[in-house]
Amino acid sequence: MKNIFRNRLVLARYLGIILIVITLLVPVYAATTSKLCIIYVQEDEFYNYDFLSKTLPVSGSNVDWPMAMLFYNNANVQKVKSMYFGNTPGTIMYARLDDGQGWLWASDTGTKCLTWWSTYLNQYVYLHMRVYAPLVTGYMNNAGYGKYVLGTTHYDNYPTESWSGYSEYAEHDFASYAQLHGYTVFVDWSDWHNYEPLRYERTHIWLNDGYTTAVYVP
Amino acid sequence: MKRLAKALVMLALTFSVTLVVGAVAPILLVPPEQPRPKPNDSPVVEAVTVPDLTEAEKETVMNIIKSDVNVSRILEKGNWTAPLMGPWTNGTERLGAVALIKFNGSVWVEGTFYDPFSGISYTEKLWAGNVQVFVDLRANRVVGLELGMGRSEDKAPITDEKLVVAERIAMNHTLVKTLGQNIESYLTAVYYTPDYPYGIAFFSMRSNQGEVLVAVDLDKMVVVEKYTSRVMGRER
Repeated sequence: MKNIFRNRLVLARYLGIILIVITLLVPVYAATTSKLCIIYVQEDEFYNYDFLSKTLPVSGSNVDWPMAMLFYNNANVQKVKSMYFGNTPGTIMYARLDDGQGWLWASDTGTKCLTWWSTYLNQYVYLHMRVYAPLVTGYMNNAGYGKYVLGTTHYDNYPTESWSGYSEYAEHDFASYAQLHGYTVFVDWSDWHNYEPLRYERTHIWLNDGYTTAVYVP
Repeated sequence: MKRLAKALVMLALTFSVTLVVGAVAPILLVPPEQPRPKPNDSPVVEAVTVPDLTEAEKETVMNIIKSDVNVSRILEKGNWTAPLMGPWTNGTERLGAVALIKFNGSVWVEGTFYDPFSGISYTEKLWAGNVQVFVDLRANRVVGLELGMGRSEDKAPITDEKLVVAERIAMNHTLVKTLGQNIESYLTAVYYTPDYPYGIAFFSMRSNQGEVLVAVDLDKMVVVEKYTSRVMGRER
């Protein structure tokens, strides 16, 4: 009787460990889209969403947020982050890019405002943008955009971070912040084919009109 | 004398031209070339498409929300609109719907609510600027809600000894000192979470030089720095 009890205890302990391992392996923020595609301009190409991991082939079931910002003319990752809230430690996400010399992964944790007042939601949030370009140069480059970087935007719930999303509202907040600081901004300038009507997917709240905002960086 | 006058005119002209060019340049700045999706590759991968809500379902969702006792108790505290509603999914199937309800201003709410985002229930007292209401469309009932921390010009209708001490601690934070004179303190929220079973209080400190949110652990009576910062986004 005692042995059965002990065996059950051991089994329960193993099951517990297996459960914890499974929980740790499951990507917490995995989200899905049917709008994933390649955007190209001149010799460059990039996907219109960023990804949870560097998994190939890329998948619409492994995305994080839609590309919503373009910083062009004379931009680089550090310059753009310093326009906002600097470098922020956090979860790394990935963008798949081709600066005319082959596909590569770019990664970033982002620039994040610790407390932002969202007039769209009428609540305090964290305002977060990840900025992508090849690590070596810090920017992409072509004759049309000059030196440029790409960005995905979203809110995180303050203070619990229990949800993330509303990319469209975050995009407009990053746009207005840039305008307020003297930058020329073209809000919702170009269709990047990542329209996402409101959809609650676990902790991921999708909302994006598909139109990217362009910011001129002198 | 004539030469000096000529030089002055030239200087004035140059200055005017510089001014005009400076003023017009940002207007003349043209947006960059439009990119295009690669025709053969779009879309690359077809993920599961979750059906959107029909108009009839949206009406059902609103009726369920309005007839829920707990939610209607919150809604009757102020004027509100429901600007957004969408499907609630687990990635592959639709579980129901969520409505974002936004208050005009903020309403004071106290209670223990189940938050489907985190999967836990916790007690909270706060000025709510909005509420996201989760509706199970198979069971036709509200299954959870998430209140967004709002901002009020009114003082919170609660106080106790702990909150008075916490407010004093918040007022002494270095970031609050940067707000200068005539600082007003407003209790914004108190949460009781697994990390803060005795509560964590949030104070909005305001002056004509801005706003700082300060979080104070009500057990240890110390400022929680990770939740404390200057508030941005109100400058527009």
